[in-house]
Amino acid sequence: MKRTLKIVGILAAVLLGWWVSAGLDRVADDTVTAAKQAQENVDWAQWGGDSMRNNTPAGHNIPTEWEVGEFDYRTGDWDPNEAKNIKWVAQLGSQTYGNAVVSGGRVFVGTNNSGGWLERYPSNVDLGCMIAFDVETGEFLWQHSSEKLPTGRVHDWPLQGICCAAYVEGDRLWFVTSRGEVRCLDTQGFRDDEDDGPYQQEEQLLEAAGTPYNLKEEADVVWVFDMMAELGISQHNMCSCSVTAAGNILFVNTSNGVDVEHNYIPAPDAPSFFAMDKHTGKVLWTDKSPGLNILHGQWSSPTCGELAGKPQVIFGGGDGWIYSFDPQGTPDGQAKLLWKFDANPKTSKWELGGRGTRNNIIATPVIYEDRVYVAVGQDPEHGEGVGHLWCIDPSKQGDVSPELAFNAADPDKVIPHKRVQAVVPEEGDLARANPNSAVIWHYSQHDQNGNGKFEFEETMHRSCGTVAIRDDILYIADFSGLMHCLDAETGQVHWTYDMLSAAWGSPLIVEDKVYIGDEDGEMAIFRHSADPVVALSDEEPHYGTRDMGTSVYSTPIVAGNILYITNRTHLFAITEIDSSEEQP
Amino acid sequence: MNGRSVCFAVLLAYAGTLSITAMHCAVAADQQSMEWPNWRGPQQNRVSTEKNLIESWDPEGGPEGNLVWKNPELGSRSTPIVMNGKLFTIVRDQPGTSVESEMVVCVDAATGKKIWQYPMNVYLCEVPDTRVGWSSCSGDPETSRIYVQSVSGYFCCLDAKTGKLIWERSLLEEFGLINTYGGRTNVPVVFEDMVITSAVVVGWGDSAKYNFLARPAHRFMALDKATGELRWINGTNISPFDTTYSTPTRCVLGGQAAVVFGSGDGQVWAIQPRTGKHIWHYPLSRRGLNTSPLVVGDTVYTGHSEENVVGSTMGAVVALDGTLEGDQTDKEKWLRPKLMVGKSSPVMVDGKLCVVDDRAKFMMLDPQTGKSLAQKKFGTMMRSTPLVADGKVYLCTSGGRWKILRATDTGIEVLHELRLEGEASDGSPIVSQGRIYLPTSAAIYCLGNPNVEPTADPLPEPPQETPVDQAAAAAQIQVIPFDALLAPQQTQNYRVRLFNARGQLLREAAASEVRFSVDGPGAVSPAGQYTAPSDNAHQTSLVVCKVGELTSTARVRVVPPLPWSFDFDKAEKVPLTWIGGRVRYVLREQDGERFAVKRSVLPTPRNPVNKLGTRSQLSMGPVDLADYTIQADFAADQQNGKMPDYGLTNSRYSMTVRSSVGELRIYSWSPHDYRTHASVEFQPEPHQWYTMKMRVDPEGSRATVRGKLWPRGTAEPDEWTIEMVDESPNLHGSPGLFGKAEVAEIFVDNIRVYANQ
Repeated sequence: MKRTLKIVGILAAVLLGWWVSAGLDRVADDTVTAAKQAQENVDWAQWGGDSMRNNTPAGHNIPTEWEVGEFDYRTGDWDPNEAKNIKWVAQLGSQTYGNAVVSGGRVFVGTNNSGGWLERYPSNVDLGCMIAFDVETGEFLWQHSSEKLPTGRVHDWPLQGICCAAYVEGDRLWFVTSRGEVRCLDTQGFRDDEDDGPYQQEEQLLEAAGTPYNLKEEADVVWVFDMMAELGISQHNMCSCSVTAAGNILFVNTSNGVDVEHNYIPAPDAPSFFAMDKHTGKVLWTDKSPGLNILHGQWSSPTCGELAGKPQVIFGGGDGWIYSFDPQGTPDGQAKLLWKFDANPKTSKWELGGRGTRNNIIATPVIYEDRVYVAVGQDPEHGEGVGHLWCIDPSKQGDVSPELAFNAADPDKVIPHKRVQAVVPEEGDLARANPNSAVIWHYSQHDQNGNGKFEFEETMHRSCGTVAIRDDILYIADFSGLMHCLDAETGQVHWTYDMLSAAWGSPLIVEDKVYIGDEDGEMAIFRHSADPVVALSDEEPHYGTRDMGTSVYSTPIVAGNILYITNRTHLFAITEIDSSEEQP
Repeated sequence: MNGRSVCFAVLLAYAGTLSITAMHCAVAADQQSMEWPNWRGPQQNRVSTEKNLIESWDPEGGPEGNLVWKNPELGSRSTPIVMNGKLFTIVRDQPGTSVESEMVVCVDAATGKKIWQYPMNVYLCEVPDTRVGWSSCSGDPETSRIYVQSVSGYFCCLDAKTGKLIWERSLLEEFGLINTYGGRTNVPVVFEDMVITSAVVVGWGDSAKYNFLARPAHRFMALDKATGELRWINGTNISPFDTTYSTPTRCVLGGQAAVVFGSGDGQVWAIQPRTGKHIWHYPLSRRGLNTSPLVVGDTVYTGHSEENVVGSTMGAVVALDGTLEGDQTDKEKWLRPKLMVGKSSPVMVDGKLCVVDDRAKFMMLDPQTGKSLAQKKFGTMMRSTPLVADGKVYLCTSGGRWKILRATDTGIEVLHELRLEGEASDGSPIVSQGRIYLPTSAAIYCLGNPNVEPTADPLPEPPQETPVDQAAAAAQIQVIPFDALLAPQQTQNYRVRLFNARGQLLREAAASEVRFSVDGPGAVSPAGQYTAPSDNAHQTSLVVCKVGELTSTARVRVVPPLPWSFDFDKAEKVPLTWIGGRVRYVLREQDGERFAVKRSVLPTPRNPVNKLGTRSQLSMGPVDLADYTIQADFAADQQNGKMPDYGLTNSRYSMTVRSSVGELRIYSWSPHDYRTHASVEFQPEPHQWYTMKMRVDPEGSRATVRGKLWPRGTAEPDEWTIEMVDESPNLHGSPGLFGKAEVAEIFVDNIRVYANQ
C-alpha cells in the first residue's frame, strides 16, 4: 500500500523562523502533557463530549491494540476466540451513524432495527432505533423505536436508522428522531417501574398494536415535540441533529431542507434553528435564516459556550453559513443573531457532483480557546470536492463573512445572498473583502511544495468531520480520505496523511493518541503531535491501524477509561485486558 | 422528432497533434473483436481480446504520452461505445443554460472530431443536470443503429452514420416510467431483432385482466429494434425498493437463452429474452441491485452493497448456478458477505474473479469458492467497471485515480498510476482498435500508442443454445404488439409467434391456427386485424389470441381525437386509459359534485400508510398531440398547515401550483435552475376551487407556453397569468396531470383538452 505523507512542519520552521520553531518545541512536549492528565471522563454524555464539541476526553491506558473477533453474518453473533482487548460487544443494526454516548452507567446508540432487539419488531422491520446498553456488560436495556415515515426517502431514508447522538443529563435523554421529532426519554426506561411524563401513552400504544411486548425493553418517553407538525419543517432525506443544551435551554437544528426536486424548498418559512425548554419541550425562540437559500439538507449540530465574554449558540446552516445567536433569544421569543459567516467563497457555485464548489455545513462547529472552528461539506453521495476549514473570531457582530457581495449597478450596496452562486460575475456581481471579517485563518488549497499546482494532498476536501484540538494542534479528516493536522492558531499545515478511505467521523484525542475511523472499517491511531515524524512511523500511523470489520461512520469516544467504537453493526467496548484473562 | 439534431463540423478544443496514421488500419485483426458496441464490450464481460495496449500515459500528452486525443466536449458520466470507427456517448448539451438538454454525440473514434449530435430535451423529469448521461448508447452492428435511453425516459433509435432518428418512444408518457432525482437510468440491450430496456414502471391497468401494470414494478420492455413496436413487457416483484441500473447480461445458461440482471426488488433474475418469461430469481438484498452480473459458463457472479436478506450485514458477492429454475433462495454456490460491491461490476482476470468495492478496494477472489486471494486499496470511491485487456486491468476510481494493473501469481501488480485532479470518473474505460477511451467529468481521453498496429485475438465462441426442434409443440404464444394506443375506428394488425418452453422461436403462427377474439369494445378479424370502436370514448380492450390450448392477450387503449372532456359525473373510476391514473386517483362525491381525488395515502399490503406514489405524473393519451390547450378545476385540502402541489401538463411542459412557496410555475425540467421556466406569486386557499388553463403553441424552433389561473366560477381573465418562450421547444406530448399529494389530498374536476383556438 502506497500512502502519501506531506512533511511540511519542519519546512515551515525553517521558513518562518523562531515563532514556528517555538511552536514545534511546544509540540514536542505534547506527549508529556497528555500523560499528566489526571482527570478521566466518566461520562461522554453528548456529541463531542460537551457543548463545545471538542472530542478530547481524558483517559488512561486507552488501548491501541485490539482485535474485534469474528461475527456470524447470519446471526450477528460474536465469536470472541480471536478477539483481544474487547470488554464486550453489543449488536446494533445494519447501519449505524448515531454516535454512542455514555452517561449514568449506560451507553446509548442510534442505529436501525436490523439487530431485531424487540420481539414485536423483527429485524426485517425498518425502524430508527435509540438503544440503551449497560455500560459494564453491554447488556441490552431498552429501545426507542421510530417507525418509518410513510413519505419514504424524501423525509426518512430507508434503513439509515437514528443518525444523531443523544444528549444526556442525569436521568433524561434528548434526541432527534428519524421522524422529525425531538424526544425526551427517561434514561432508566421502565426499569425504574415508573412511567415518566407528561407523555404516558406508551403502554396504550403497545396494547393497541396487539403484538407481544416487554415493557422493560421499551423506552419511557417523557415528552415529544413533532417538528414536522409543530414547526412545519420538511427535512430532507433524514432528520438528524445531535442536540445540546445550556442550562434549561435545548438547541436543535431542524434539518429543514429541499424537496425531491432539490431546488425547491417546500418549507422556507419553517425554522432551521430553535431553542426549547428542555424540561417541557416548549419552544423559546426560532430562526429561519437559511430559508430559500438551503442548498440540500441541514444536518449540522449546534455548539454553545461562552465566547468573547458572552454566551453564544452556534449553528451550521444548510445554506453554508455559520450563525451565532444569544442562547436566551429576545424577551418576545425571537432569535437574537450575534453574527453570521458565509463559509464559502462568494463566487463558489452549488452544483451536484464533484465539480460543485459551494458547500453546506454538516460538521459541528467546535469552540477552542475562544475561537470557532468548522469545515464545509456535503452529503457524501454528492462525491468528493474541494472544501474549506475556517477559524473564526466570535467576538464580532453582524455579517462577519470573509467577503461581501455587490453588483456593479450599485457597487456600494451589499446584494442579497443568492442560493446557487452568491456572486455571478456574468451578471455584474463582484465580491470584496469584508472589513468586518472574522476570519482568523482559512484552509482550503495551499501550494505547499510550490510547484504551482494544488495537489490532492494540498487540498482540504469536503468533510462532515468535526475538528478535535488539543495543545493548539488541530485534526480533521475529509471525505477524500485525508487526515489533516494543522496549527490551531495559525492554520499552518503540519502534516497530512492519506487513509485511502473516506472519513465520515471525527478524530478523538486522548492521552498521546489520535484515533480516526474510516469507511474501510479501519481505525488509524496516530501519536498526538504536530511533528509528522512523531505522529507517524514509517509514514504510517504511529500506533498502527486496527481493523474494525465493517465501515466506521462514527467517532470513537472515551468514557471511564473505556474506548467505545461503533462500526456499522456492532458497538465495541475496548479496554486493556490482561492476556491471562479470558475474553468474555 | 425531438429537437435540434444535425450533423455539423465542430470545434475540437483539443484534438491532439499526434500522428494517428498507424492506428487507422487493423488489417490483421478480427474486426468484430475490436469493436466495443455496448458499454460492457463484445463479450459483455468488460474483456477485450486486443493486444499490445499501452502500459502508461500522460494526461499532458507529449511524445511518449500515449495521448491520442482529448475532447472536453465529451466529458460525461456515460461510458462511450465504439462501432465502425465511430465513438458514441451521451453528454450535457449547453450546460447551465436555458436550453440545456441531454445529447447523443458521435465523433470519429480516431480523431475525436464530432460527426453528428442528437439533442434530446429533458422533460417531466426530476433528474438533475449533472446526472444526465447516466445511461450509455447501445450499438447494433447488424443494422448500424444505436439505441439510447435518456434520463427522462425518452428512447430513440438513431442511424449511427448520420444521427438521423429512425424511431422514438416516450417511456414515461407511454408506459409510465418513473425517473427520479438519483438519475439511475438503464442501458438498452440489443438481442436478436429486439432492443430490451427497463425501468420502474407504473402503467395502466389496475386488475389481473390488465396484468396489474398500474402497480409499480421494475419492468422490462422488449421493443422491435426496427420499429420500436412493443413485443412484451414483464416485471419483477411489485413495489420495488429502488430504481436501479443493472445492465442485463445476454447469455446462454444450461443451453437456454437468458438475460440476467439485478432488479429494483433486490433479486437477481434470469428471464427469457424472446418472451419475458421468468426462469429463476434469487433474493440477494433488501434494496435494489445495480451491478451488472458477470456470466462465466453457467455461473452468474454479481454483488451489491446494501442490506443482505439474511442477517444484519451489508454487501455481498455471490455465485449462482444459472442453470436452475424458480426460486433460488439459499441455493447460491457461495456467498461472501460484507463485500461492498454495489456499483462496479465483477470481471474475470486470468481465471480469478475481480471486484472493486464501492470504496475503491480491489479484491481478487477464487471463483470456485469466493475465497479472497488478494486485495489492494486504490482510493475512496468506485463507480465504474474495470477494463480487462492484453493481460492488464485498466481502471479509474471515482476520484480520478487511474491504474493499470497486471495480475500476478500472488496478487496484483500496479504497472502505472496517476491522478486526474478534480475529475470524477463514473463511466468505464473501453478499448477499440488499439485505443483506450477513458471518460471523466472533464473529457474523454483517447489513449494509445500510434506506432503500434492494433491487433486482437478472435473472440471465443459463445455458448450455444440447445438446438430447436421446429416440429415440437408450442409451449408459449406471444401476440404482438403487446400494447397499443389507437384512435376510434383505427385498425391494428396482430401477429402471433409460437415458442417452445425454453423461449425459442418455433415459427410465426398461420392465420388458420389462431383464434382471435376481443374482451371489450372493438372487433377483431380472423386474420388478426383489430378495429377500435367508433364511439368517442376513452376505453380499453383486450385482444385475445388462442392457439390450441395456449392463450395470450394484447392490451389496447382507445383514445379519441380532441376535444376531450372529463367531468366524472357518471364515471365509477377515472379512465382506465390514463397512465398512472387508477389507484392514485379515486372519485368522490361531495357537496353535489363528483370529482377526482388524488389520494394522500396509497395503502399497500406491506404498508397501510404508504405515501410513495402520492407524488406522480399522469398521462392521458397520445404523445404526438400538439398545439392544444388543457384546462381543469383544482382544489386542495390542507393538513397540518400544509397544502399539496398540483397542476397540468401539456406537450411535456408543466404548470403547477406550489402551495408551500406560494408560486405558480411553468417549466419542463423541474430541478434545473436555468432551463427555461417562469413563475408568479400565487397562494392558494384550501378547498377553494381554481380553474387552471395551459396552452402550448409549437412554433417550429420555439414554443410559447402560457397559463391562466382564476377562482372557479368567476370570469376568466383576458390576460395570461404566466407565459414563457422556450427556444429549445417541446413540440408535442401527452396531456396530463401532476400532483404531489403526500401532505394532503388534491381535487380535480372538469378537465378539458382541446385544440388551440
